[in-house]
Formats: sequence, structure tokens, C-alpha cells
Amino acid sequence: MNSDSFPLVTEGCDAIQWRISECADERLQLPGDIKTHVDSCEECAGFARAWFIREAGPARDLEASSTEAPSELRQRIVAEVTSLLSDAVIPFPAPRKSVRWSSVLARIAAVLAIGGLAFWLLDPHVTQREPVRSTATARIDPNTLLRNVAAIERPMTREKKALREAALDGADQLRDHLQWTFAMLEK
Amino acid sequence: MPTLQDSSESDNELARRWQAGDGRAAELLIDRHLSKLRAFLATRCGSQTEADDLAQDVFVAACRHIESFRADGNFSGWLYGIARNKVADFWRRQHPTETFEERHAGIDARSPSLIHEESDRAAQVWAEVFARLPETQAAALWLRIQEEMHLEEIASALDVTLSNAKVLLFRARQTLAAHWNSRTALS
Repeated sequence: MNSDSFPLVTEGCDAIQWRISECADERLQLPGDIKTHVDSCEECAGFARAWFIREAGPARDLEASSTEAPSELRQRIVAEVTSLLSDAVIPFPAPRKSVRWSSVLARIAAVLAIGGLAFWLLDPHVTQREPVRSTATARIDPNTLLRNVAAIERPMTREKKALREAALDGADQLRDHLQWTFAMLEK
Repeated sequence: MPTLQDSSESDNELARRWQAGDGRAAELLIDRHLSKLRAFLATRCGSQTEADDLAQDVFVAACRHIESFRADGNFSGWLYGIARNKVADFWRRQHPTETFEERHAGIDARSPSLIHEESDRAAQVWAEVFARLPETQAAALWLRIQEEMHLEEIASALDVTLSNAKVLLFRARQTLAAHWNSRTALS
């Protein structure tokens, strides 16, 4: 017990009650000088009765056990917590499938398709062959439109096939495939 | 109430299992702490129905933030920290024009008729304690008496120094003893 730990209480009834409080917390006997003071001081005697002797009264009532919570409440809380836990479970990553040649070919086909499409779109010769017309003079030439659509049909078909094959390999494969494709395009 | 309180594991061991997603560990901790926490909340908000809802909120919040519980901490103290925050939020919702701090700054002038009526004598006395004392003093007293926490644990739970925890308990006891003694003298 360290009675010096609270410098504000150094004398008088405050100091006595501080030491009684410490004795109660540390389950110690009251020192003789405290007992002597308590015997002659009604205020400190009241403090000791409540918190050290713990005789019947409001302070003793505070020690009463809490009534048990109803099972309905317990079940409600457990259900919600369990639900939260199951929602929060992060699935363990599925093991990667072994490399399949169809997957590799699908990736290559996808890169070629996207690359071909990009080349076709960005080719300056194509731009020169089909200069952009002003809105005032622009007229849709059905033959040109048909030729352009036909030109992109094959790359688009290859791309669609590659994506379908990748999708059939599962979401992970598809994600990997797209990441890989975009990485290749960035290079 | 069917409970699972047969586990010999400590709160902290169970909390670590809860952190790992173990629902049974969460259930055991709910069983251990629900009744006292509910009683604590009932003394604070004055309504058993509100206390039950708050108890549910506390455990849901505990579940959502279980990762923040430190392995070397005191689970009960951590839980009460959440509960005190929930009570403060509750008061702000119920009394938007009155700050929680004003309401719980240690008011002595309330009419006894306003003190929450409970059939349970302990609940009634605790309601009086929380009405009369500053919130931190009352919480320290609750943790000491109902949770039988040591001073170090109370200090940790309330995020105060050991000396401050001693002072909180001492001031709480002094105020209550003086009040009860004066009441006895009057009667």
C-alpha cells in the first residue's frame, strides 16, 4: 500500500478514507492508527462501514449479481455475430490449375486479336485511305461501311472465342488472362 | 438459458480464436459477459429494452472490430469501452439538446422520483450511483465491484493511469458514503 500515491490527500479524514479505500482494494487489514481514528470519527466510520466492513446497506447491494440475460437475447446476439463472422470469412485461395495448352493458346489468340485490332485502328495508312470527311460533306458509303465491318469481324470473333475459352476455365483464369493481356498491351 | 460456459480458456484465448473467425469462441465470450454487460447498460439507459438493443450493438461492434483487440489487453475492459461509447451515442440520440458530459458530470439535484425504478434493489442502487457520480467514477466502481477487476485492469479499461484509477474509485466511494451517511442521519 502506498499512501503517498495521491498527494492531494495528506491529512485529515480524506487521508484516512484514502487509506481505507486502498485497504479495501488490496484486501488488507486496517492499520491500528486508522482503526483508532475510525472509532472516534463518525464520517470515517461511515466510510469504513460502507466500503471496508461492507455491512448491509447500499454499498453491499452493489455487489449483488446481475440477473441472467434471457435466452432470446443471447440467441439473437449469437445469430448476428455468427452471421457477421460467416460474411467476413475470406475463402482460402483456390489452388491454381496447372497450365493448360488451351489456356495458353487462348491468351496468344487474344493478344493477336487485340493487337491486330489496335494495329488496324491506329494504322496511318488506313487513316489516309479513309480520310475523315467534314460533317458538311460526309456521306455514308455503304461499300466502305461493309468493308470496315468485314475487316474487324475476324479479330472480334477470335477475341470472343479467346475470352469464352478463358471464362470456361474459371473466374481466376479469366482475371489472370485479362491482367496478362493488358500487361502485354501496355508493353 | 443454455450456455457454453464450461470452457476453461481465458477471455484472451477466446478473443484470439474469435479474431481467427471462430464463432464458438465468440459465443463463449457472449455467454460470459452478456448478463453483466446488460445490467450495466440497463443502469445507464434506464430501460431494459434499450439495454438489450445496446447489448446487441456492443457485441456486433465487438465482432466488427475484434481485430483491434490487443492480445495483452483485458477483454472485459475492452468490451466495456465499447459499451460506454454506445451509451454515450444513445444519450446523444435521446437528448440532442443535452450533452452526454453535462448529463453525466455528477449531478446531485435530480429528484429521487426520476431515478429509474427497478424491482431489483441492486439495479436501483446502481442507477443511483450512475446518476450521482461522474461517468468515469461510476464506471470504475462498476468494474471494481461487478467485474472484480484489479486496479491495473480498471486503469487499462478506462484508459487512465493507475493513480487516476485509484482516485476515481476513492472519489466515488467518498461521494457515495457521504450521501448514504447523510441519508441515514436524516432518517
